[in-house]
Amino acid sequence: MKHSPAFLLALAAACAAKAPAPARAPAPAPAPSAAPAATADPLAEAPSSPVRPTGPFPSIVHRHLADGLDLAVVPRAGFPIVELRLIVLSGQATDGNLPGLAALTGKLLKDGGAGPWSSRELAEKTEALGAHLSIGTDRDATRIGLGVTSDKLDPALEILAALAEKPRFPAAEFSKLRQREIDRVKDRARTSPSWLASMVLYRELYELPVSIHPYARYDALPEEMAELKLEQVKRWYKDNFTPENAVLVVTGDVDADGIEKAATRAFGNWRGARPARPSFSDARGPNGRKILVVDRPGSTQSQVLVGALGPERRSDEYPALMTANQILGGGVAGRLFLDVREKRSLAYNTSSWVEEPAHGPMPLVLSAGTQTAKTADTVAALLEHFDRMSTTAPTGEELERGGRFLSDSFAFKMETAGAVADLTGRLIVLGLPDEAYDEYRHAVRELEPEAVARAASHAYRHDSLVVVVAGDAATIASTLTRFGTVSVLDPEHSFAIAKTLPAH
Amino acid sequence: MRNSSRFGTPVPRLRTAVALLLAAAVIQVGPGSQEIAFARAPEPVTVHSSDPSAALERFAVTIQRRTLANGLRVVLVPEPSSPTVAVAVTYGVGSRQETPGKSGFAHLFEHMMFEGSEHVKKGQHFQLISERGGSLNGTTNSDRTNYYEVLPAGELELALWLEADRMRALDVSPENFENQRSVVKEEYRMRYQNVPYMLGALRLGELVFANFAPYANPTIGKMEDLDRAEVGWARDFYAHHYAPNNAVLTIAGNFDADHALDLVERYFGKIPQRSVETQALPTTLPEAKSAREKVEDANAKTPAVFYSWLIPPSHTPEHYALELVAMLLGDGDSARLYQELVRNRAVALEAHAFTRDFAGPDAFTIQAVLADRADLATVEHALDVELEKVRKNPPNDAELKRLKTRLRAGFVFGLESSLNRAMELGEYELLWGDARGIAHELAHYDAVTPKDMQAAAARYLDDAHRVVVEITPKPKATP
Repeated sequence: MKHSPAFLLALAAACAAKAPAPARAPAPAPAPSAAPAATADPLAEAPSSPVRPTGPFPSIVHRHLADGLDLAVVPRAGFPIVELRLIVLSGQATDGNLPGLAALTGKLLKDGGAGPWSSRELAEKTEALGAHLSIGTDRDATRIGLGVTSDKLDPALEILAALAEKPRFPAAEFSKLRQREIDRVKDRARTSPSWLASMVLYRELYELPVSIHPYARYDALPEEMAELKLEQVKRWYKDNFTPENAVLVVTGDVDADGIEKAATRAFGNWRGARPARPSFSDARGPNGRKILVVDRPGSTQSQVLVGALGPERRSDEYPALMTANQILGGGVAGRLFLDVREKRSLAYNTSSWVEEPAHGPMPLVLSAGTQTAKTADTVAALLEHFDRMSTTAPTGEELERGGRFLSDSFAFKMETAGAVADLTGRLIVLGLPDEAYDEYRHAVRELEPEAVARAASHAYRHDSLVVVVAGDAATIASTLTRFGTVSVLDPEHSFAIAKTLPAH
Repeated sequence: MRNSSRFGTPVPRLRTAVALLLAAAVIQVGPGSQEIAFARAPEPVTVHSSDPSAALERFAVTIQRRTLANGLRVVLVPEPSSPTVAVAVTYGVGSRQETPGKSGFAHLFEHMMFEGSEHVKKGQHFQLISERGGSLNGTTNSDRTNYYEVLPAGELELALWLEADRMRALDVSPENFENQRSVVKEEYRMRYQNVPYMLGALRLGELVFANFAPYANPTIGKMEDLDRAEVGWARDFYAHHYAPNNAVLTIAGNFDADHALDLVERYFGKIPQRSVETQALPTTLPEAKSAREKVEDANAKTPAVFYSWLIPPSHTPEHYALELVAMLLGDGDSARLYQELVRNRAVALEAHAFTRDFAGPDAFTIQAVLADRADLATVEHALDVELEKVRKNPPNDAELKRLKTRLRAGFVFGLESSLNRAMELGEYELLWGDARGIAHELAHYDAVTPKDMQAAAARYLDDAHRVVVEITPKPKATP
């Protein structure tokens, strides 16, 4: 078996970084003594368990094909599944002044057919493998995903290669797709409160004085979608779908040598250079506290989002901030769930999260859906929790609980081959080293309360946040003036300000 | 491997389970699973997939079963390579056991199971599972209610302790009951009243099960019934349904089977057996009548049309055939309705077909949401043309082969995680009598011929027994 020098280097680097993944997961630790005192009620107390190390993130084997395509392979024996992700490192942020272009191109890859196959034949070919083809576009990347049983690896690669290298982009399919997309965004605007709120949230968080930030757009407006042309799609594809700008992630029942050969066969003729990157000016976040209502006349429910900008993903404060978020609203043990839902019964769904763009500050979001009459109470509750993060250090118990969840939940977050493929892809899109997850898991277990309090006070700033509520403005707007000046936006007219109510 | 439709989140199934973990209660109104169904098996200890291809021969699931003296059925599925351990407790109670005026109570009660028990304070269940790096949820549907947690390997005992304590001594306080009533009402508003087409979907269920009230009754319930619910009902409901002899405990993932059985005996062995209410399902199909109704929907932007028919229960030969018909018509990118109505003719934004997979009489449903400029008559005609084709002509061999390959892959992917194994096998054991039967499921689908599909479609999916709901956008109220 021959290895290229690049492979040897990659392997050496991987070995230096960490021990190879064990063939088996660590065995469960021995149970506590099973011989309690004869009269003791075995149900009386929660069984304790020592904090134990969890298995490391599996080693990623890197290869570099001659045409420029990188391979990232995570072999996992034991289950006859292979997950493939072809990641093109260009997403919505490369739309420029054509909102929706990257996402529409991704969809047309599938809906237009590729190589020898029409769209319908492509669907049949994929499903004849038992697979589902997914193409998704986010801020920073376009991901083409296929999961197959391992006996179907070669035909699956053939499909990915056809999509990457030989999309057909027929005009008739383009027109139909564009019309479906116009219908989709119109439908979202009418039916989805969270879509409406998100359209405004990112626009506000990434607002710049003169230009438009590459992350400012959540989705395209119908009139923007209608302007997109097939020539623009073809141009975007040509510029961005190149082997130098792509990584193929393969996890599951494969070995690195085998997949390298198979990928060389499938992708060996792909050509193209790395595109120029868009420029990411610094977003500074909202100036003061903005309150915005996206009008949804007659809505019985309101969707509330509270957003702010935190540090960059590579900041040293990242583990502390993630822990702060976990304490705030990262799950069923978070403050939002236990207080806003379980105690005050204001919402069925409430949570908070941190988003991870590849460039610049990370959005921090608190969310709750509530009935129209309880909108102001819910906004008050979210703001109270937002402020508390910046003013009061978490308790030791909260810290222990949050940190251990973030560290130990990797056991189920990386359980399947698909999950490992997605986590590996995320490292690549964010430009993080292979050890990033293990270092992070170590860091969140070692945090001091002061570090979390410090990171939270930098991120959850009362003088830089935006509150967006999608709901019935006629009923709720005046009740929100106690939090500040309220602007009512009209989603039927490009989210322009329809009305302003002064703070009360 | 299925697309979930917009009409609601199916009960966590197969590939979708982990993504849904943090939604604290999930209700079935949308498509059910098609991947798994019934067969009685002999007594193998290790079951292999019946797939002939080389890769799948290596796919094996080891299943062990025990029944404790108190009647608790225990299913163990050890997988030493897994980093996790998952526990599911599946109770033999669902919304079909609700009596008139008490709709939605099985699900409201499910929420109460997270509010504390004799040794577990309110909120502590969430906290303990989270702080050990785990995740949890519970779901209710017509036939059963389940509770589950997935944790890093080595944390099995915690999950067993929590499940045993709430099986033995739930703490039902009036304050928590009020609180959860409000949460569930909020769930109703958020996931039904405020979501397009949902009220039409609920109405469709009422119409198709007009002669079988237990399934006509929606799992989320009716607002007025939720308002009327009393805390005393919760204590009765618990006493009548939440007994060890009405439950299946499943453990899947990385654990030692002997040690697990010792722990199960220790935590669950002393919970007393109780008499439980059981409900027999009909052995013949209720009478099916055609009906057509219009529903106005303030949340909808474009009209939609839903069809539904009564069909035989899950795990019958005709049901296997009809599941394949549903896939052929409306599941996946190559499905006929999607290709014809959405892609070719561009008259629909979405088109789905699915069976609910109930243990009793089941329903076959088609849902189509209209494109902006399409009209209802055109879309109905297009649906009727496709239905006529499946009633008249058997699918071709390539189509059937594709469906069967997809089922096979869905089966393997669906059993990849510990949590899915625990949930799927727990439900299988509870509803179909022996979890090991899962090994023979693919063979049941393989046995379906093109002619079986055509015959089942011709027999059950006819106009004379069809229920139709037309949904039209309600004009905005003028201010």
